[in-house]
Amino acid sequence: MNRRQFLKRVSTALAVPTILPASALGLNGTVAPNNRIVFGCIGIGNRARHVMPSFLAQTDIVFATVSDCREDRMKSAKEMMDTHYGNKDCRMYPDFQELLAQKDLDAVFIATGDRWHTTASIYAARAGKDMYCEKPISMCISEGRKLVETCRHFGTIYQAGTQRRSTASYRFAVEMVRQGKIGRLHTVEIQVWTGPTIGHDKPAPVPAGWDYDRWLGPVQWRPFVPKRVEGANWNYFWDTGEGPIIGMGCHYTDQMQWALGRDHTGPVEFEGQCTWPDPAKFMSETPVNAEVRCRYADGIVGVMYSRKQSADRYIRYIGDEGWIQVDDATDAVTAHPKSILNLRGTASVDWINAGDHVRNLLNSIRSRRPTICHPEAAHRAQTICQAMNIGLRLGKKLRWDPVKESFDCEAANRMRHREPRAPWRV
Amino acid sequence: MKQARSSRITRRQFLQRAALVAVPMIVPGRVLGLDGAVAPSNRIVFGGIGIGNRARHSLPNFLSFAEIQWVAVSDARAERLASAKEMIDTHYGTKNCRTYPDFRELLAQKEIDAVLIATGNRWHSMASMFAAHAGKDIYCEKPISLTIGEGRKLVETCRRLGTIYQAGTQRRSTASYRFARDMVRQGKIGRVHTVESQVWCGGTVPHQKPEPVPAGWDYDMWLGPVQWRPYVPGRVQGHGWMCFWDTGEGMHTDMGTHYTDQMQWVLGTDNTGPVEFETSDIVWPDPVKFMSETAISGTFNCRYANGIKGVIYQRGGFRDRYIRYIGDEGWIQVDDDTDAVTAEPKSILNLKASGGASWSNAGGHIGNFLASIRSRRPTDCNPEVGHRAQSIVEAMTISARLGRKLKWNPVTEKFNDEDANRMTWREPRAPWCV
Repeated sequence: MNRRQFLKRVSTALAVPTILPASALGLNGTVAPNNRIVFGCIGIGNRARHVMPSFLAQTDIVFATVSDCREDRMKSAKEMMDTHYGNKDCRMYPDFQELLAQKDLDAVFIATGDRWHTTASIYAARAGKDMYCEKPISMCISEGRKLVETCRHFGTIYQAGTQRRSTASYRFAVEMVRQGKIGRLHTVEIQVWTGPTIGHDKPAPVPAGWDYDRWLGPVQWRPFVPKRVEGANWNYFWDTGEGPIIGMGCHYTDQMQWALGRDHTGPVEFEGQCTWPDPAKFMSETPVNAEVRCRYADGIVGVMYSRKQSADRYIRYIGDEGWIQVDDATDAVTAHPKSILNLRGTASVDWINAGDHVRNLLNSIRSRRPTICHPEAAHRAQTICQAMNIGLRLGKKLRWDPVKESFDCEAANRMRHREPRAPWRV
Repeated sequence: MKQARSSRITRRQFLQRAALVAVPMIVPGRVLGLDGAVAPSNRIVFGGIGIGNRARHSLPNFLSFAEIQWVAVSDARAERLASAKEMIDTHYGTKNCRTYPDFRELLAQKEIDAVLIATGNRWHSMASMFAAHAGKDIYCEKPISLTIGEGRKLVETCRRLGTIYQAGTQRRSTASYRFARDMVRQGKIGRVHTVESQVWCGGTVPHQKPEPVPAGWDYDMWLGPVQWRPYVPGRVQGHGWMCFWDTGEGMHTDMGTHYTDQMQWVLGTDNTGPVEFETSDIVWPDPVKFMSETAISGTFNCRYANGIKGVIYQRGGFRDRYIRYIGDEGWIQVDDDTDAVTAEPKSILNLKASGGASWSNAGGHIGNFLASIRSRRPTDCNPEVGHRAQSIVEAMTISARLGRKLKWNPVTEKFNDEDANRMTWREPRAPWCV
């Protein structure tokens, strides 16, 4: 914040009211308004309502605006903000580009559906905003690379919403692996749930208050089919989501990359099998059960299973002298030898709490130093899941050059990119 | 042959070609153009891009022209490529027809003057624009584009590069349709107020599992500008691809473009179009049973600014297709399947003098194209004409998909509806950009 901006804010904040609450001046331990980071939120759905408490708990930020293409969601988001701040100041913008045009905003929280993540992030970066963007950060590899370049170009502080890097259980596991407590690591095992299937459904009129065209955004137009859109269903169609391997898997590939210290590179080989939904019964497109392997150049193998229930998800690091595992649903850490667990000092912060992850972003916004899930790290973790999916879709083993970011297969290389629907070119 | 606008061949090129015929010791008379045949140096050299069912239909019409010479074919399917070569080699009694799995290599051949594009619909405008950039003249099968935006780009490209382009709506060159046009234009049915046409019901394709791509298919090239998706036989084989939005647009677009082309021609509106589109009674495939996406049946309406109405009915069987011009003093109808012309009052039919080729004979249409290649004057179905006829059926599609009435400005080529305007363009899959 420079002096001019400071004076501007002070003059608007101070000049009008005659009675000043002490909190406005930062007298009771709160952060003075002119030192708060002003946030906007793009896309306020289920996920945003989950994370928002972690944001609102931070006293040095203020949410000034919200944007959503669904009127009901936008209104209820405004209500949430206004209730929290005890005023009526939260502004609403059906068009997120208008939100981004607001000069008072310093940063945005992007929690749209997956199809919008990268495009919205790039627009936000161009508008000079810092951001926290929910995972998965992109829908294709080339889009992710563009995001990395854009953030670098504009000096954007960007935090990917893979918040497990900021929770105690995962930090502990990674520490143990790095300290060699399980010997030499050779395998990272990951399990996400079985991909759901969705039966065929007819189109229906777009519900009142939805800007469906904006909801689709960069995705090819198609009629409004309730079961493709509702709840988390959009996760299971290729143009709006990519199934549990990406939707959830990117949390764990992110952990794997972090534990291995490979944030700027990635595996060199991908291979897997899966079962697909029967098209005669289901319209969903993403795999049901899957087992996908990736191999790093030094021989370390990552295996991702998509099987069983949501509650069964875990990540396990296996070395030649033992293993350590974090069960995601319970946040329980188990290990062999059990003695490893004695080293665990800190009380745990559950993965549900994104507070520390938000804190990390806020510190970076002030210090201008990279976040813990900076774009390059997030893009590399995301690339692994995307390469897995490409291998499954093509039904073949792929070799990957993490320097050039290209496959040994022309068909796979073509699948690194998808054309957005005009005018959403980035 | 590219430089000379009038003679189409320069002296240097002539000598170059003549040098080639200098090699054989015994020169057959027809090579020198002595027995009424066209001398090789004066023949228009053709290549074929996409040689499937449709091309095998029109290729005999092409081969019957002595003034052209086929030298190359291209197809993404190896077996089709081989059989196309065989067909052409058999015709010429040689082994000279070259094959190119990649059509861009065919377009790079300098001696080729013109191409026939008979790929699937998804490739039409993209391949046409590549051909125009390579300096070739083009006969392209209908429908000439899959989106209005793409069609406009095609028009601009051909105009900029001076490309001679003939859209494969060959009914402009057949006697029955010409007769109907003349009768309407001469006012024999009074003031025309409605143009009615009928295409057959669209197919439905049940859900099906992906399969391995058959040997010899370059599936990625087959898909071309279309978003990648697994190879599902029912989406690809036969006419299956016509029933999916990304590879086709259903019957009223595919066949309907012949009739909107006729309507535009008869009404003399080749450089403009209707101002309003509305659809009714659209029956969509039940998504629980079928994976196909395009309409089974329906009524597609348009209205011109002067009140004339156009209707395409998608109903009935394949043989029931027709176009009928209705005026305040009578009507005239061409049944497409039989090529029979009926009219009210019947006396109109007494004016029909000429016999003539039926719609299935593209000969006249090809003749018009060849004459334009030599004269450099626009063809009957030049890009603007093709694009305007195609725009009508595409606007009907958009109206049906959005389920609402649309107003269209034929000058700015924009709807009054932002959603509809967004649907006038689709991004091709990289690297296929235009």
